Amino acid sequence: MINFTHNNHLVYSIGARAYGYRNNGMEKFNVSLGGVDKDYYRRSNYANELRRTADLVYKDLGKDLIVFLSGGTDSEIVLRNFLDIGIKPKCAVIKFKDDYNAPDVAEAIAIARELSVDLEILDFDVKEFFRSGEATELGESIQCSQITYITVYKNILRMGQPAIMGGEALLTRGVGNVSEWYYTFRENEDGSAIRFSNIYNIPLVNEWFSYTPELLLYYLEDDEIQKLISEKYNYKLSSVSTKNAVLRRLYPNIRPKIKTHGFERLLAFNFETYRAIGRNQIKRLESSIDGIPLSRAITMLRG
Amino acid sequence: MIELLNKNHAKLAKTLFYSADKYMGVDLNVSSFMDKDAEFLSIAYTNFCDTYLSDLNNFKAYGNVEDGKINAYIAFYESNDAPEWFGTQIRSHDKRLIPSVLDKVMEHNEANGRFKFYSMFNMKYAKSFRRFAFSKYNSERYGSYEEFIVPAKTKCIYTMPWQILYNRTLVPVDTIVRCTFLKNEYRIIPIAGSL
Repeated sequence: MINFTHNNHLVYSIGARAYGYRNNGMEKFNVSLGGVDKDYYRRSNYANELRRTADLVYKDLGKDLIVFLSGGTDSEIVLRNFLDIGIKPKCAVIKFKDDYNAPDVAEAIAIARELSVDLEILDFDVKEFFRSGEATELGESIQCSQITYITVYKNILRMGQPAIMGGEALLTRGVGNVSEWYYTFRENEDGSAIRFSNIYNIPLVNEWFSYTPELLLYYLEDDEIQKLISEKYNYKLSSVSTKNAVLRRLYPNIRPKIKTHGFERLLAFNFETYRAIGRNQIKRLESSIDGIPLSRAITMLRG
Repeated sequence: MIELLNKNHAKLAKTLFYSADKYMGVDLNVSSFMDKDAEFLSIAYTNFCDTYLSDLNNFKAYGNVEDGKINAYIAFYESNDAPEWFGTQIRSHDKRLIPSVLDKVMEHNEANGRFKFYSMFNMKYAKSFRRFAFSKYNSERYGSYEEFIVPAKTKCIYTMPWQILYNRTLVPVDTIVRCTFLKNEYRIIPIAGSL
């Protein structure tokens, strides 16, 4: 069994099938988290746990692992975590035709140069990938309609090596029927990384900041995160900027970023393709949320 | 001349963005769609080109093109989920040019069986829109009602308006979403079945 997180402490299920596929719209989507080792948790801290995560992932994925640099903070931190334990991983960045993500590619190149790591630039025509039907076919094979993810999967397939594609540990402010912050793990996006890894037998980490229960709990108990989730009117919808602030405190030398997700110039394309790729996929028609209410997530982690 | 815009119109639309000092009636020198509003119009222009002038199926714009420039345009999203469209952007050098562009957009959508549309306004100016944007012809044919209010800097709870009208942005002023519909007596009801 591939390790998606350490000892696969993070488990999602659809209709009670762990890491499964959706068979119909009414099946419940559920996410659970493992508990921390309490003694260890008391003795260590977030910075140490980031380094331990690099060590664990290296043991799980092996020396051929590739870190996908997106030009954002998460992947730079992942790279720095490896460098902290003396490992210089190979890195890659996806470069879209017509320069749609040119600032992100430039940022990834700058990071690689600054940290003296090898960077492979993967030229990619994302619009043709969609128009050819290939994105839809790959998306349907893993029940994913988000082309930002399918694009990375396609490039991982091209390289055929274990990969680290993202950090996540996203917190989202609920609105409507979910009125509290929740730890976000999306069936369509984050779940598809696990399905992709399983079906193509390529080890893949998409949950770096949730890789161990300890790492996630240090993060959730951080003062800035606690402030974020306890303030009623802070005009925040997600934890993205707060997470960057937390990480910047640990790594003050990370490069300043303006990037959010790399599809800023393809938002409409993304919206259109999301619906087109998902047209023949089974929609979730019941009220499960994409994740775990935060209070419950913390309870699970504390064990 | 009113034309469906494409990538060849990109340069012609530029002055509509860089000569503006307001967005949704909000003075960009005072507040606050993003951290650096100096960059806002440049980003808005790039976003317009990438969204409405890049051969997508559902995102389109019609514009008044004269003398080598676009003097007014209306951008919109055609829904595949329901017989409706979303009016997303209006810009002009002269608001008197807008009714003819709106007539064309309505004609386009009616031809495709889309008889109602949603649009979002700064609440302060919502009432004046119909007065300056509608031709006499379509003012008679279309009715409207207010659908919901989104207070300043809050997230709209409805997915499609949040994605399409708000573009996932916390707008710094109170806004209102309006549904405008073709009255029943002017409708030829389309067949919406398929195999």
